[in-house]
Amino acid sequence: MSGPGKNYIQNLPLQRKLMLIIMVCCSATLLAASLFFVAREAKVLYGAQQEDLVSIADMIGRNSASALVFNDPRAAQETIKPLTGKSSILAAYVVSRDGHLFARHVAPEADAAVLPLERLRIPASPGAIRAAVDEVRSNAERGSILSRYASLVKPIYLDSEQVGTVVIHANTTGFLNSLRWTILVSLLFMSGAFVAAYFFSSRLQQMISAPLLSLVGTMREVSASRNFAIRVVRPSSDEIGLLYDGFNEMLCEIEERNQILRQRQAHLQQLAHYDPLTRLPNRTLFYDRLAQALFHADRAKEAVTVIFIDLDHFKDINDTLGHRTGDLLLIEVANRLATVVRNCDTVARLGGDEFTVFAQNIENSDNAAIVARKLISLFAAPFHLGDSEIYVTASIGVTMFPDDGKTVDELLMNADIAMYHAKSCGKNVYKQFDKRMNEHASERVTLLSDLRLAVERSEFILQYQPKVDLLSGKVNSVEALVRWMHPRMGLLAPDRFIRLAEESGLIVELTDWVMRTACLQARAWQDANLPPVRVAVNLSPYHFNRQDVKQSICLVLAATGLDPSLLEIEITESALMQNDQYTCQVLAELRGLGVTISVDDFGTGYSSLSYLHRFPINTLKIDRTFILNMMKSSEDQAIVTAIIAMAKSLNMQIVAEGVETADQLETLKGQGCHEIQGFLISRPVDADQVAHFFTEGNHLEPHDRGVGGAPAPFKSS
Amino acid sequence: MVFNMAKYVDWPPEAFAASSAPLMVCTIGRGPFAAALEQYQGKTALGHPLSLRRLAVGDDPSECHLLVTSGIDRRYLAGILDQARKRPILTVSDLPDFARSGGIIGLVEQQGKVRFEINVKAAQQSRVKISSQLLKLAKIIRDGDQ
Repeated sequence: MSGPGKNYIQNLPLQRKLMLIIMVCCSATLLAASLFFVAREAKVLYGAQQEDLVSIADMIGRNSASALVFNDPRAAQETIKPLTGKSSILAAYVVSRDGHLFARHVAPEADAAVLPLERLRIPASPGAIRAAVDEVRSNAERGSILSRYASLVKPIYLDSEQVGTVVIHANTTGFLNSLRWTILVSLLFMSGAFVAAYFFSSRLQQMISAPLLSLVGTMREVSASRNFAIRVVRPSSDEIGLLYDGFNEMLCEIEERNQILRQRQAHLQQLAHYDPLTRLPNRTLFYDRLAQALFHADRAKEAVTVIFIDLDHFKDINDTLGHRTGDLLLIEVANRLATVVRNCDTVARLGGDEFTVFAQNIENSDNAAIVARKLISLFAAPFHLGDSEIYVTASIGVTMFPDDGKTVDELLMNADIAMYHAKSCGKNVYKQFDKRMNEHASERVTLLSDLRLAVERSEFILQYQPKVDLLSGKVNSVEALVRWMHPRMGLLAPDRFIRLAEESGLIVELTDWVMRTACLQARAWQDANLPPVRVAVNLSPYHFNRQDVKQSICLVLAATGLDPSLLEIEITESALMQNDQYTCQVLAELRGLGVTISVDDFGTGYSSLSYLHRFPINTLKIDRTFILNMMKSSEDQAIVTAIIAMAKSLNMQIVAEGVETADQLETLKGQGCHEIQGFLISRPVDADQVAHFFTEGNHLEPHDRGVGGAPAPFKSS
Repeated sequence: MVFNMAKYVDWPPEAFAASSAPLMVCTIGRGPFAAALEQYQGKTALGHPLSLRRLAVGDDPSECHLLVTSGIDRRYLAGILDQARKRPILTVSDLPDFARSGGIIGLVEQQGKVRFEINVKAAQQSRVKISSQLLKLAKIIRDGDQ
């Protein structure tokens, strides 16, 4: 088949193609069968015609033999007389052996021109007659099945001796008519069969095409609607059934994968935009939403408040109660924050203990303050975390769009600054951003770069605050306190730079310097033959995270040659709690060397008292806030009494910090406190000034307090 | 003529000793027919070789199958027919009214052609069967002397 035709057939619709195949096969079969039928019929008819002629010739021959033998033409004529009634016979002749025309019959409708014997002139000679008979014979041999007339020449025998010849011309109309009829019938049969085949093929092809077309329809529906839940019902158990099964399986697979894909997308979306712990929007989503909100607010000339929330002392909670509790706290905080805001507002967790809120359509900063107060009030109730119940506060910074910033970054940065202000104002408060805060913040940045230089340039000095024994009135130890001699800002107290140093990591070098300087000073006092006085150095929790804390202390002791018993380490409660097994081991080793261990600011952390005895602690220093409120609050008084009682039972020394009045001194003395430290005795002073306390008598006497009597502007520890 | 006539006649089976036994053609008298038979001497008709024999009036014709009488006086005819009667002998003659006189086939001339007269009854008496092909050419004589 040629290219275009083949393409045409291949591109036909399935139904047409199937019908075409069936029809072509049917037609070919029908045509072959009909041709065979017609050919066979023609042969049979022709044979019958020839047989008919032969039998007629035989009959004539047999009947005319005697007439020939006995030379009786009249009788011979009689024998062919019956043929006149037979329409198919055109002419019949009986010719004697010697060439005489014995009998003759010619039908009226015969065309004389085509009959050789009729063309003869009468009377004809025997020779001419024989020649005519030979011509008929040769015509008959050459004659085809479709000739208009058939001829037969048959000799007449009598007792195996030829006595004459019969010549017959027959009309083939009957044969041709029969043949025509046969062809007509076969054509009618073919047409009938063709119509029947068309009818059946159009029905039968549906057995194959209908399920396929149905499948195609379903496929189109699926691809148009994207509904992969559609299934097809298998119509049969053949290959088409398999195709349906395969189709279903593929759909099933696609649906499954689609579902997984969607789940993963949703999961990714969740991961990308939500904090996995609190399920709050994360930084990315918050930035995005805030940017949108600012865009709308800008067009609608509305205000937006952006609030920064930071939990107070969250690190301490994490360190003392564990990260698990810290996480639970964050979740609970997130839940509480979500209760305050409207649907259109967003609460997010930026990371760590930092949360942010923005509220749209805020009329003025007073409304923002209302929101901030609501947020602060969320922290009034205690948090129930597993078995623990703790109070947590938060510091909040508030900014307003468009007054405090035009962009997301600017607003968040300023809210952060405001929050830091809230923290420095005693925490658990909110602060609204003020342009001046920015200056303060930039000061922080400057201070940090100055701090780096200060470590290199040794701009730090140590001051010492004596601790007085309440029984003897003598000074047994002093606390070394670092001061920064800032080139422009003058003398700075630790609360101005220790946090910065911790955040920047400079605390390590700073602590090393403090330790070395304090040890050198203590050594110097010994070299000056002063009475033995311990020097106490504060170790930052950051410093204590270092694995080589013991090694660095040993190095300093070795370098300065100081007796370890004259060194005291002060660590905070939270430092004690973090990594407690390691801490316990290090402290035990230091104590083994003779170093004294003190717990600073005791009572402010979240420590459980039950752990205390596990640590090799020599001294507890009661936090200054308890001492400050002791005379006004019976609760604080009770706490101080309890701490002293507990420490005594654990064989620990007790030091009261921040003692400022004689009343406090007397009360503490009555409680059995061992030592006191505070402005009542002395503010922190230079090394040469503090040395006076070592030799002079009872420092509990009123006349001795003149040295540090005036309140210093510095925090003591 | 007489020779061809033999081809249209069936003799009873006992007339021939064998299927190839000669067909005995006997002639009495010297008519033209008897003379014409001479030329067929030795030829076969229906499988029987032709055997010619001349008989004189009065000779026993019992061996003959076909007895041709020609050119004799009419007064001998009854005697010849008597001899042939009751035997399977086909009697042929050109004597006038031969068939009417008890002969089986009589030859008569009409318009210059020879025609037959056949006495069917005589043929039946002689148990000689004559083909219908011959009968249709002949004038059938049903009555007449025996």
